[in-house]
Amino acid sequence: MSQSHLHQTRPLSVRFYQLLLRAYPRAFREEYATEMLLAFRDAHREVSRERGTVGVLSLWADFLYDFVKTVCIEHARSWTARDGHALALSGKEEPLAVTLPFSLRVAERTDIGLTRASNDDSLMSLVPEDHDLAQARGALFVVADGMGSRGNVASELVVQQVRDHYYENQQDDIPTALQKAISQADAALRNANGAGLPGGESIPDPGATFGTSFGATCVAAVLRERVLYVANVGDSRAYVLHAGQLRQVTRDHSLVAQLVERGELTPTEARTHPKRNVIYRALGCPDPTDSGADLFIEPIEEGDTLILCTDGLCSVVEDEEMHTIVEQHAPEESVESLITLANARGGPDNVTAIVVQVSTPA
Amino acid sequence: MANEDARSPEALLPLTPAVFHILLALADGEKHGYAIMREVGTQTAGTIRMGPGTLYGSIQRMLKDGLIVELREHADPAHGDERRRYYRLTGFGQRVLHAEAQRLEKLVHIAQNKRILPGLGPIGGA
Repeated sequence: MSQSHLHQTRPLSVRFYQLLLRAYPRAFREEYATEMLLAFRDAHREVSRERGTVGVLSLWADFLYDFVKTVCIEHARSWTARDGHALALSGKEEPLAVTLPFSLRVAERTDIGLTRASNDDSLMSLVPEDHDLAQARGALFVVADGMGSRGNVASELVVQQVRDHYYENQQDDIPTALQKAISQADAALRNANGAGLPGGESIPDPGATFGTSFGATCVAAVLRERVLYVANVGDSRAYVLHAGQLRQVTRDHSLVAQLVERGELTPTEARTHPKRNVIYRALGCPDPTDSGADLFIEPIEEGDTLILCTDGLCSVVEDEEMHTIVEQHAPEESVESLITLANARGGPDNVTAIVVQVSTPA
Repeated sequence: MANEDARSPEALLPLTPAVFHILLALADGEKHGYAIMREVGTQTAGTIRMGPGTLYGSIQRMLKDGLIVELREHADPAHGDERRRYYRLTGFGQRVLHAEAQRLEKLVHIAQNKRILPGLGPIGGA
């Protein structure tokens, strides 16, 4: 761009700053390095003219501090997830992000509820800053509900494993990559379970139909181009609000859901059934065949909203209530209201929700 | 692309000081990066010294959020032939700036009423 002007009269200071700029992420550098260098050069000129060496030292102090602070921030930004906070520079993300061809507004919240001693839910949202990555792999949203005495460790492990394995997979198509990532999370849980307990045995969990003390449900959604891919194991859920209709995309792997499907139970009865928490599939089970994920593929359009949640939300909040809240509020208010409502109903479990609003870029 | 940005400015509040200062600097016309940095220093009497990392990091976000637009390679006579990028507020950016200034004004008003700042209040002010 204007490199020739810089080459002519480049003092040592400017050349040194140019070297420092290499530490920024490539995309940010390609975009702004020239401008930053010009700004430094102008500042340097002005300050040395007006305040001499003392001024230059002071300038360097400021610029070095700015450099150290913002290099970390910019690197974190090229990889971190988004959540629905106000425009900020502190490392929290802004409400709007672009995944071509859409603009996604993401909000997420998790809450311990009112009766549990720990929060065993985990969640994450990742909308890649890098356009190539967003184009290739899309945005990823994961929610997991841990079971057993170390449920919080289990669900956190699942979320991390799914995220890392999904994005590292460069060759498989999205459905395969998602399935593989979940299998790998499953294997990781089983390894951790075997390694972590004395004698390597699993202790039967009274709430489960199979013996595992280190398991989790998982629902993982990928949004790329105009397609939504959702993989599910367990009774956490994904919904899509489309054209005024809220629809549950996933199918619960719970005993009561099976009974409802077979017509032996109504959905209302299912909510209060004594065995409503019993699921027959989860990650981390001793038998891998109990960990299979269902995959759902749906078209997604602007104006749609995606909701991921654990059963702590959908077991106490009706679908219609969820519909009304999400339709009438921005994602940030929606997640707040959903959690407040769940707690108003007694908060019997941990509550977690991710709300993603899909619109066209501004 | 967007004709009229129908988003609510309030959704982006409160702004960080960095963003607010940049919007303020651009309120009276388009500027390039260093001019913004310099004005922020002047506005704050040197207490806030914005470095290029903070400036362009903020600019990047503000561009994405539609608060400002970039005027590419604008030749500035004061710098000879050198081309630099200039930035300008969008309509939406102006509304957000206005909303934030109003928010701060309300807070100042409360501070005045509590006699923390001099000014008119129900008990007559300092």
